Amino acid sequence: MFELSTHVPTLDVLEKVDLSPYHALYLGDPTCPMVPGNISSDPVLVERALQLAKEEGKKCYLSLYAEPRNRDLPWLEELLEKVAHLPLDGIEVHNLGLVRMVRRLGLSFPIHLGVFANLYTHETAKLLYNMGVVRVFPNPELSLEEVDYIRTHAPTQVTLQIHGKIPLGISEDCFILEYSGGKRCQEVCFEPHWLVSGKWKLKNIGRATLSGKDLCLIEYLGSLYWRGFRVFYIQTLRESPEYIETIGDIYRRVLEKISQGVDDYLEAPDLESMASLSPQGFCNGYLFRRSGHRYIGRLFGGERITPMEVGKEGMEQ
Amino acid sequence: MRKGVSLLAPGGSLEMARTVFAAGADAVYVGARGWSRRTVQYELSDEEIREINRLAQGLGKEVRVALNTNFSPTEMDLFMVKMERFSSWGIKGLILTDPGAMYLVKTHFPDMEVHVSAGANAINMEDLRFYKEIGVDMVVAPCNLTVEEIADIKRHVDVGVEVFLHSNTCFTYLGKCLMSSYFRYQWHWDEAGKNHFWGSPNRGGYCHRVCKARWSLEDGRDVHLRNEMFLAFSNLPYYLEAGVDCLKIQGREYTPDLIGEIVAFYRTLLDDLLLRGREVDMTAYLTQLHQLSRKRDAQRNRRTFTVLQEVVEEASQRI
Repeated sequence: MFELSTHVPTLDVLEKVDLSPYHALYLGDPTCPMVPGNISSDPVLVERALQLAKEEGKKCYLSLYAEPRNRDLPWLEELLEKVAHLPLDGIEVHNLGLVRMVRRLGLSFPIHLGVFANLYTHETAKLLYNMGVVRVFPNPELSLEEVDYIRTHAPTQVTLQIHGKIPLGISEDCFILEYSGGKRCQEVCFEPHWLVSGKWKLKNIGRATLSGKDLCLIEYLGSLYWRGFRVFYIQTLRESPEYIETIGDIYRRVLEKISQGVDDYLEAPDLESMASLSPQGFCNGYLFRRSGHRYIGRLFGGERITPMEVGKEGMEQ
Repeated sequence: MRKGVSLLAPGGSLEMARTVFAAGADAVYVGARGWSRRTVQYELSDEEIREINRLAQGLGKEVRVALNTNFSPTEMDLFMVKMERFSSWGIKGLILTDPGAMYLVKTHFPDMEVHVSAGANAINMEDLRFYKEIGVDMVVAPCNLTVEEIADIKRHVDVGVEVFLHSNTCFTYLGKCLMSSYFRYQWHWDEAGKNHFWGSPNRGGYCHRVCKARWSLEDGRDVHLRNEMFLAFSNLPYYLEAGVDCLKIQGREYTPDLIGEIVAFYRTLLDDLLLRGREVDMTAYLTQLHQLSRKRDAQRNRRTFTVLQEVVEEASQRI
């Protein structure tokens, strides 16, 4: 009917957070292999995580490091060989070289192309489909029309992020470590930095930089569902257990209602809970052809541009 | 050292293209208007590209046309019409980022050479093998890659490798940054129906360089989001020994005079290295390079101030 997923970086999150709202879990943190306890850096952790998640009836996809250099290829190949026999439901890769590696090793896992792979066109999705990629996560800069174009012009499934901070970039070096005063990963990794410039805010989680605001599509979820989207994703890396549980629960309930044909699916307490968990506010990302930080909509003090107007306008006013 | 290496220089205008050829470039790259990773004033019309191609052919040199933005899936037909036109004009070299577009070009126009843009962020050997298998001829290595990584790639993958001599690094991996468009992003179509995606360096080439704003942590500590000049000067002998195929000077947005000086500098140095190898006294060239770098930095800083000011004014009203 539909799938709701998120990333689970460590066993700690898997064991301590109620992940019942999510149908599927991307195991591991793709932004950095040095994240302490990163599931996707250690085949032993993969096996244990898989066991725990499968007991809860989850689909499990292994999320590989997004930016592997030559030095990373041997350990990634070894990891893939060691997990080859495990009952994974897929492998998420963000790097085209790793698409090739999965094929070269003869692994039969379906491949999901992750957000850092920079997929912008249906032609790339078609090309990759012939290499075993069954699902793609288009670059966040694409508009709703463009994402839908890919969905309808390529044989792959398309993932749509519906909530959470938008990945805005990934770097070679760890920003947190750089400003840690000589501390080690274990001491500082789970303390994200907020970058501030005047009124601007961004969240840095090490090698990845995220939006300050949370992307939120809850008021558009019905139209997205009925347009044909079925694979939904909530970005929760470095969020609190309360955030992961509450946001997942709200979207799961809302999607259940929508799929049953309920039009009036928004409830005031849910919106209040969401707002309390996102003190920097909300945005819609780039879906409505606007700067990523803006929120177009009737909720959360959004800008009142109707979807019809959005479709007609070419430029920001 | 490898003798067949070519020196590739920017052609941000007809004048710049002529200048860099005169200064000793073997090849020039130009941006097709609306399709390359620079703003429109540094891109060329199709007719101008045709003129440069004629000029290059007359000189026995090469032209590469950059259509290396991540364009819209709805613009794929427009892209293929352009490929048809360029192919019929005898244009051989293309710089692309979208793998699907590369595959289409190699399928429909097999005589055209496809170069993978640095914006595609090919950062390991498997990446290069992937591109080789879909038919590309050359891959532009991002500035992040070390000499050792590039040498490893050349040893193990049978595909052309191009490296930057004079460029800039970004806070993120090149092609993986949405920070500019997060704060300011505008859809804008030209008369040909091409969207220029203002504010997105990946889609339209217009970057507001928000990483160059003054950033701090919440505790008030100032922080520096790296965006600096990249000079591979000291790497050059090692690149040549590794067997790289092409050396690229970036800078369509600078003045033709300055780019001409930079090209002439690297032409002289390259010829010297090809003739005398490690015996070349690199320090003798360093003073001249520092002077050129200062001029380049001054031009870049002026541009940074302008593009940053635009986004500060716009976004401050909305956030």
